Amino acid sequence: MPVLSTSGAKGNTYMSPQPQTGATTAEAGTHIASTHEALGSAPRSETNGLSRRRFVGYVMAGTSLIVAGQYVVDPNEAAAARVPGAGLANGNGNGNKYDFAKAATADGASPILSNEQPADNYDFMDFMREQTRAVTPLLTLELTPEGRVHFDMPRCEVGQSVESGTAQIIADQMEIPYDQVDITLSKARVDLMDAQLTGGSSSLYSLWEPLRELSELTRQRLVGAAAKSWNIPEKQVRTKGDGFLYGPKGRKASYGSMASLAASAQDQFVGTLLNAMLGPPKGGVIGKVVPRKDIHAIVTGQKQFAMDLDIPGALPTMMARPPTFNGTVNKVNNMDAIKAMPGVQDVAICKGTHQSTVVAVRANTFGQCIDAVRALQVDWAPGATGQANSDEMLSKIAGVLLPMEPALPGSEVIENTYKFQYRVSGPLEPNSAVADVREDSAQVWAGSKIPGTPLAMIAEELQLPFDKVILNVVYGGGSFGTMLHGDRIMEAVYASKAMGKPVRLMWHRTDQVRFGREHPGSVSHVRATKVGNSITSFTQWHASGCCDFTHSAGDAMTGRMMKKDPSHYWGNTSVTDWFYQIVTSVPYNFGPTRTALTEAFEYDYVPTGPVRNVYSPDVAVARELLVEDMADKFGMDGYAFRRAFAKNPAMVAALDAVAKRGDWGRTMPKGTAQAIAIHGEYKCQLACLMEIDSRPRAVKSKLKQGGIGPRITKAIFAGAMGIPVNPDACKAQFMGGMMDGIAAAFNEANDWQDGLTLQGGWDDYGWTRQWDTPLEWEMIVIDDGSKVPSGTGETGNGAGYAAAAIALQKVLGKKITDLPVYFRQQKFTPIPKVPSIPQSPTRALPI
Amino acid sequence: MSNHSFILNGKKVSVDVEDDVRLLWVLRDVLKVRGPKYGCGINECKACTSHLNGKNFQPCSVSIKYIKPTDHVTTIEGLAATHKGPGLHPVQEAWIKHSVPQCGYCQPGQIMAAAALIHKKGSKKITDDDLDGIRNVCRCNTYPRIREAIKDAAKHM
Repeated sequence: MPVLSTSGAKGNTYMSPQPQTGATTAEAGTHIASTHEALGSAPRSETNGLSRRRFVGYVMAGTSLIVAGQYVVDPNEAAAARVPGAGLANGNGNGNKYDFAKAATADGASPILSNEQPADNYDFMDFMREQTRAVTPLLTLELTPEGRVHFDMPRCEVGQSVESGTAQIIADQMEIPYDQVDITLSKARVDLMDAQLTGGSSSLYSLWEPLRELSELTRQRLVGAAAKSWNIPEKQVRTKGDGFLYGPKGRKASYGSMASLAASAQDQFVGTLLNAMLGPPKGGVIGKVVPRKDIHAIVTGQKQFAMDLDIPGALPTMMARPPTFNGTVNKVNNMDAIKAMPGVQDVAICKGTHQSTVVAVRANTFGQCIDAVRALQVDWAPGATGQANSDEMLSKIAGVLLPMEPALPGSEVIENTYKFQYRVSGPLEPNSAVADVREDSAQVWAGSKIPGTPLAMIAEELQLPFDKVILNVVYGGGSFGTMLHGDRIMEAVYASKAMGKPVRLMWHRTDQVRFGREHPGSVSHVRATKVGNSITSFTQWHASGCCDFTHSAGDAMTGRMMKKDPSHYWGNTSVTDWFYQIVTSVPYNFGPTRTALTEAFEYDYVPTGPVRNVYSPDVAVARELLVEDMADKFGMDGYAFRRAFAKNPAMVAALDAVAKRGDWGRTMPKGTAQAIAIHGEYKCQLACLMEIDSRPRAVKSKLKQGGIGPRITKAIFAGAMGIPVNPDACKAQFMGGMMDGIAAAFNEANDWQDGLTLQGGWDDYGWTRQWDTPLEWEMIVIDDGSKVPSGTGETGNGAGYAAAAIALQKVLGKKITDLPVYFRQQKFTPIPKVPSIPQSPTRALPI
Repeated sequence: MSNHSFILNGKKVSVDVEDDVRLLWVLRDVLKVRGPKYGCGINECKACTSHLNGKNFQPCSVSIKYIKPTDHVTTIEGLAATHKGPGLHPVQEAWIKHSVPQCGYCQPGQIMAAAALIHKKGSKKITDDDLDGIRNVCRCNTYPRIREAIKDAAKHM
């Protein structure tokens, strides 16, 4: 156990802020030198709220150097001031110092400052930061005598580059080359409670401080070890970013060579860093473009996803699913014949996702699973979802909109209601998991962004204690919300339990489109009031199909409790209402501003979940489309109006950057148009300029069965994103989100008919392809002065979607209120619902 | 069940499997060659794209019985060896240089499709229409960088 010192005022157990010289000096080399010298200092505005906190360090027992630490509150510090300009530094606030009046009235607008919304001061990323701070003592960083640094990361890499970003953060602060840092994906850990959640664009932000503290602690231990080894004062030891320690008279030693000396035979407290403020990054690795950790494996086909693992005995397994969502198996009529089919090993009825039951087939190859699923003759019973269809669902969603209050007399009202269809999450890797369920233990391998909840569900299902269940987290082939839920994990467990054998479960693409997680449809009622040159109020009531948040934040209790609420509604909606409020902010000075979410349906009526950017893409589109109408009323174009009313100076800078780069306002040929939109979320302020071309050449050049409608030919983003840990990776996320937005504006949707969607593949669904790709794409990074990384995974979706919708509105010459614009305009023959998966072609040979 | 043989990444392989098993499952489930990925199984997403005698094809949609003993099947694992000189194939190098992948699941297929396209075009310039014609799905939307990488790789081939 670490030796803690108590000092200071009577009875308190807080750490003294002074460097600890007394408590552990028995072990030479444990004293930490003055941190001011080691760390430099940072102005308070960069503290990210840490002014009252100290970080205390420990070395854990081992032959490698293993460090841990925790935050403690220092009562001796003067009352922590509200960090001035915190909102500004975080890129999310009102920017009180910006001279809005001067900027705006030049254009004939008089913006009224809006009230702050909750998300302006505390958002979901801050919530995850708190969760991660709380469990920091349970995270360790290791440096081996071979000079390898290892961090077992409580996050899932699904393409968003969190693995590489955390390696950069560690390498920068520890001053060791990026290539020497190894990241593994942590198994599900019950002890991490709500801190093993990947989502809400929060991973780098929430791991930022703990990793930098632990990395600095490691570096200081090494400095101490070198000083001891060379018998010189610590302040004569220098590190220079290359993984070596330097002393006077040409002394030089690798970090690895000092690891054992810096290590400890027993767990040991080693004192406090003077304060938890580490100042800005050292710049050796953070801010640089580095290759992804997995890029070599990806391009050579070596990167392993769940279905690429070789787990002994785990054979391919697929499910036959009902013709309506939540349907159940009444009877299987030809069980024996199926079991006799080539390659088939096991057939069993078992639970499926949500409320359904399914028939699981385990065979030598997936192709033989498909054959068996298709040959199964099953009597299905309909479930509670019945004959759900999109029109009815959207109508019911509209029915739960909050009533709009009457406008004050004398106001001009600018108002509209926008409708959005259900859309799949649909990562390219379909739900995949390997499960090996035994009598007294179980082990699963799967991608998972909230592994704590399924871990608890497995334990409950199998009636096993937690320490008998292992959930190994594997790389994900995209997630976009799907991996927040444990569908793949639970189905693999149910199948393995029913069959008594290991299974390698994979969903068919058609399963993924019809039974996989979807972004719920929504209806957004937006209203602004205008008096003179001001917008005097802004209200956005957003009604959505229920978004299933029963994955909770990952602790073993909450998710299961949410699922068991008998109404299947209230437990979930209490979470979604909260989530909506801590991510949603209106980026304009529209005077009194309010927005809220209401939802319809039980959480498992149809399969929904927080798909990339959750509610915000639709919320942003509705808002930005109404802003176009507002701009018309002012006789201003979309850029000028947004610029006059934007509430964040970083947003104004982003608008200026895209307008300049995109030559906004130039005369566009007939049949083409420019569009501009903004969105701020997760401490990112983004502006997007798009150009669209609907002329016959642009449209007719599309290939057979290609995309529908005009083409976005150019997309320019500019944005403030705090510190871009890897600018290339940030740009990649915005690029991806931007094209998500094009898909959603144009064609992408699930059309529910008779209890299941018509769509079942890629071509009938309308996902983007190369023919939808802008021919010019650029991302400009704006510096907002923040010294922490913003969340870049999602905000691009809201901005890109809004710009694409506005572009379509302009070039089609009609008001858009229903999205996607080309919903139900693509002709296709639906894949049959029975059997639940289609057969593969047999002879698609190259010509 | 019968015996099927073909040449995989330059080496002769032989499997005992039913005639109608699609080549993708022969590769992944029987031979444990996991580079080509499953994305749909119905010849839409092209995630499994590999080469049959140098041309793009989708093994998810070809029964093993249509593969002859003299057929050369190249998967992503064998691409680098098809290019003269050590190290990676120019397309693989371009993918790294332009930071193309995100999750990486579609990229083996994308790389194989790109390599075949460049090879097919020979000395002719790669046009936007050529790039538009690549049907490989990318859910992460890395499309813009794929275009840049292909144009760059073509210069080195």
